[in-house]
This record gives sequence, structure tokens and C-alpha cells, in this order.
Amino acid sequence: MDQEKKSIEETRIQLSAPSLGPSYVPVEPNISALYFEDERSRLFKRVWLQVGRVEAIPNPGNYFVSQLEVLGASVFVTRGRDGVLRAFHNLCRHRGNRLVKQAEGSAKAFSCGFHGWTYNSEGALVTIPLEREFRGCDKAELGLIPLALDVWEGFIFVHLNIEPEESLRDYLRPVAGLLDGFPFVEMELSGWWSARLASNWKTFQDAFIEAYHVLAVHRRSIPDFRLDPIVPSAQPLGRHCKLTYYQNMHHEPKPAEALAFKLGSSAFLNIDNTNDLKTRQWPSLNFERRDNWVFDEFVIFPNFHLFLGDGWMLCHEFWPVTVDHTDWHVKYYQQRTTSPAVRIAQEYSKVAMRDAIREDLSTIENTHAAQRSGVMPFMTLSSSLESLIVHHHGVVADYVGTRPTRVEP
Amino acid sequence: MSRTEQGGALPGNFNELEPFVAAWSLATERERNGNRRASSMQEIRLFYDAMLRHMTAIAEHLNGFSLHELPEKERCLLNLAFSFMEIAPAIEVYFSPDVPEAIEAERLTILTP
Repeated sequence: MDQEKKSIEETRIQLSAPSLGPSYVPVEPNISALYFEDERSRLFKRVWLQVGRVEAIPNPGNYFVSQLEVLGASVFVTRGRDGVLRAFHNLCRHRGNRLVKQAEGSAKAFSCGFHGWTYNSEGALVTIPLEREFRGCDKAELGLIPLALDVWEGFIFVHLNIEPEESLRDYLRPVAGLLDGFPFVEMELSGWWSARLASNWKTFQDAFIEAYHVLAVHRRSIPDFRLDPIVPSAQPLGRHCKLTYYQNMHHEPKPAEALAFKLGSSAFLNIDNTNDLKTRQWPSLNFERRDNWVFDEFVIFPNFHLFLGDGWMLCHEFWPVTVDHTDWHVKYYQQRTTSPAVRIAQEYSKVAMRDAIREDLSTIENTHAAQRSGVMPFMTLSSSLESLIVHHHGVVADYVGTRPTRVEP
Repeated sequence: MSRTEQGGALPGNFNELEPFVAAWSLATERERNGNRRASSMQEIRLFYDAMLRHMTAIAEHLNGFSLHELPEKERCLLNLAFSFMEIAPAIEVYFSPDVPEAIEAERLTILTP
């Protein structure tokens, strides 16, 4: 843990660094169908992918389905009678029909609607109707096809390779130990939103890994945001990275927000209440121990963003469908409460968060469409303000096997 | 949200808010957001002003109960309070029912249970 902390200090990027000059990131990987196929086979099939949280399937028999189009697979995660979580390809071993049709639910067993082949929640094939006509078949060899599954802080990850190159813990390094102490189990789902956008997945998630856009995109919802003197801080963390976001100390809440502060809390900064900042207890969040800290956003490579704030967390999943389309799920969680007043305060944050995300959606499809035209071969980025975009595209390129990411104009 | 012999759908001390119950006491985020976008700024403003006067008293009243054991009238009042939080940005931030310059609201599916 100390070693991880040290490496964080060493790699911290000063976000105001004009001497770095711009970075030129090629557009081709965002619009090329060939590059997308390489991302599929050389990246997504070789990494751990976050698909949900353990609270979604608390009891034996519970399941949910993830349509992982980027893997070309439908997958379901289920809790066995032994309490263990398992992930399986959502197909019957007979002729490959889709086994589980509902997005989520609970089942004692899984029966295929085609010929009635039935599997238990540990994935074993238990029934073949008219089994005598399959004499010689060993049911033990026809169980559901598993994926690797592991859990970190309640987040469920799957890997296409049943014996992955790296354990989940190793894959997540150095982020794995950084979130110790965050009260994940106290978090309750507050808002869940989804969209399919006509955008490459990298362009889509780029919009959320820099704070530079806040000045323009969020000029209505966050009119007092300033990039000077205290700027958000960005850190590459192995293949992952982190963005830390601060708020204007002179923020004046509107009436509804002031009410939220009074009744309970807000996701955003309560200037009058900074002494209460719980993150002072957690070693790695709010690393700089600033009073105007709002959140740390961890980008878990390749496509999972985890925002952690004081009493809340926000999870973004960006699922590539084609080079030009991405399915996106956002889940907002807040601290479980039995107090109606706190719950009313939390509704303020939920709506404000969702509306701010709507603001973010205003640029993404236009950006992708313009890049699609091919007339602009590269993006000109700030190496400081937009360092994490450069970083993310670089890690993708490492997997796909193309270099360099930086090109000269 | 039923009307009892004792009067309206809300606890007695919030009679002033009865006219808003039919439109704004909605149980899900999807419904509340839908009503925000379907309403005029005038309708939203009327609701906002009336609720702002009562929000502190509403919270105090509801805090006499546990969140998961609210009687019907209190549940109705809580949904009104949620609607207040849903429409507040329309009045305070965007000056229009919906977020301007965003993609069409229908494209963001609200899956909140």
C-alpha cells in the first residue's frame, strides 16, 4: 500500500503545465472498423470487465444478464445454492439457443425453451428430455460454459478467458488497495440511466475524464467552476487513472441546494460543513486533503468509471456495440437512510447529477460524427488538462499493438 | 393517494398543497421527470413557489416516521417533495422545463426502480 502511495505521488501530473505543449492524438482509432475489430480481439477479450454489483443478486437463484456485444456474447451472472457467484455464456450446450431471456430475475434452474434441457444454478446439465435418445452423452461434459468471475469491493468482474493471464487483483493494480474503507456496503441505488449513443466508446468516455469541459458544457449547472488557481488533478495509475475534482470555495447554493444541505447533505460541496468531510478518514481519497474536494473519479481500464464522493458513488459503464455505437449505463448510489428528510435531500443530488449528465450528452454524437468524416486526422489536446485522454488512448493502443499514439501534425 | 372522509390526500397541515397532488404526487423518477418536461414554466413556477414555502415543515413532519413505514398520506407528501427536487433545476438553473442543448430526453432511459 505504501509503495502504491509512493507511485501515486511520483506520477501525479500537475494539471497546469503549459510547458508540456500539446498532444496530438489520432482520430483513426475512433472511426476505423478494422481498429474496432482489433479492440475486440486484442483488448476486450483479454481484460477483466465490470458487469455489476453483488447487491443486485443477493440470494441463491438470483441472476442478471449482460449483453456483452463487444465480446460477441450474452452472459449471465448467477448466485448458486452454495452462495457462490458464477458467470456463464447464455447459451444451451445442445444447439446454442439463448438460455436466459429475462434481463434479471430468480430461478431454481435454467431450462432452455427449445428442447427443455435444464441446468442448475451451478451450471451443471441436470436434465435432457428423452435422454435415452442421447445414449453415450456424458451430461457432465455438457455444463454451461463459464467465464472467469471475481469480485472487488462488491463490483463483479468477468473475464472471457476462464484462466486469465492476471488475477483481478493484479489487473486492478495499483487501484486495488486504494479504496479500502469506502463504505460500499452502505450505498443504495438512487438513480439508473441508460442510453445508446452514436459514438465510438473512446470518444464517449473521453468526455468524462477531463474537467476542462466543465467551463462550457456545465456553464448553467456549475456556473462558478474555475480552473484557476486550484485545478483538478489527474493521475495515471498503471493502465487505470484518476481524476480529482474540486469545487469553487465561494459557491453560493440555490434554494433547493441550500435546502438539501439543511435537510441532509448534497453530493456537492457544502462550504459550511467541510469539517465533517468523511474522506479525511480514508487514506487515499481526497489525497490532497482539500476542503473543497468533491470526488475522485477512478477510470478502471478499459470502460468503467467509478466516482467516489462523500456519501455517494457514481458508476459509468461504456459498452462498445460497433465502432460507431456505444451502450451506456450510469448508476448513482447514495448512502442508505431511513430518514425521510435525508432522502429528500438525496433526491436533489440525484436530479442534479442526472441533469448535468444530460448536459454532457450534448457534444458526444456531434464529435463522433465530425470525426467520422475523416477530414480531421488528429485531435490537438492539452497535455496537462487532457492528459488522461492521451493516457487512455495510449493504453488502448498498447493492447491493440499500434504505436505511436503521439503523432506530429 | 386516496381521499378519505377526513379530507384530502395529504396530512391536514398541508391543505394548501392539495391542488398539486393530482399532477405532482408521482411515485417514480420517470413519472416526475416526464411531468416536469410536459409542464409549462408557469405551472412549474406555481408548484415551486408553493412547495418552497413548505419544504422545511414537510421534512419535519415526515421525520416523525421511518422512511419505509410511511402511511399513505405521508407517502403522498414525500412524492410531492421529490417532485419539488425534480423541478427545482427548471426554475433555478435552466429557466426552461428541460435541460437545453441536450439530446432528446426520450433517448435517456430512466431505469431507476
